[in-house]
Amino acid sequence: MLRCKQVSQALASDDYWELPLRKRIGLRLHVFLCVVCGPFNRFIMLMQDAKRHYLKHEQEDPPPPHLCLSCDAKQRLVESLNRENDAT
Amino acid sequence: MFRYAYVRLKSHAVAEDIVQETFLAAMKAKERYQGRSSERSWLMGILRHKLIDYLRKAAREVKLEDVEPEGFEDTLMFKEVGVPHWRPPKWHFNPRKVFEQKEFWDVFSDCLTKLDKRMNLAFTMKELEGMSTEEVCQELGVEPTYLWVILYRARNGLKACLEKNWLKKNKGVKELNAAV
Repeated sequence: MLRCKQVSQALASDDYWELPLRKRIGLRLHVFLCVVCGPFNRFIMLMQDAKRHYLKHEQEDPPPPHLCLSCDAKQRLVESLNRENDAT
Repeated sequence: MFRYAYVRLKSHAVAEDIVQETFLAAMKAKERYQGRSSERSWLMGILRHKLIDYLRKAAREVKLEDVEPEGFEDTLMFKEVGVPHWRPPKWHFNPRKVFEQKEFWDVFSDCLTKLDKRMNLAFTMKELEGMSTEEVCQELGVEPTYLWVILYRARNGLKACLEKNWLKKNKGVKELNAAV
């Protein structure tokens, strides 16, 4: 049986889903039964899940308008690419 | 690409520069692009390299000792069990239920940019860029235990921000729906 400190350290250093299956089973069991480290480590697992969902969203969904390059910035980018192209 | 850079760098100007550098580097290396991956993946690969270089430089400039410690890392609970002595406060909404809503992730990305510089750096390198604990500790010049403390605080900060901003946004949508 895993000890609280081992569970906490495993979750602190690695994403839950990157751990080997055997370790994941023991760890999940501990986290859902333990009254000492359970609430805190469940929170860590939830935040790790949130991060995974966020990275998927970032890859698949278009950004909101305020997180897009402005027209001016796009113009500057095009100009610098043109300058570079002319120089080569 | 801009969103990717901005969320991790917290600065419009720097994010814009990194995107520009990425396109310039891609233009110089276009002969080396063999079409094995999509152009988007290839560009994202270049962007990621540039971003990690920038994060490494930024990590050297952050003075970690300047930050007030909260002190839980010296408690018996942390030393023996590896968790702080307090329990994380309950959520005011069911977070797993909102994972399916795109708007929630826009709030999430805004909250990431609101973390303080040190937390943002640690969280970005470890969680978003998937660097190992050893690498991040080396870049930030801290022990693993201290990195875990920074990450705990970053997650707490993120949670507090999500609670505040998601509830605010949701309230606004509900009011708008009621008005319509």
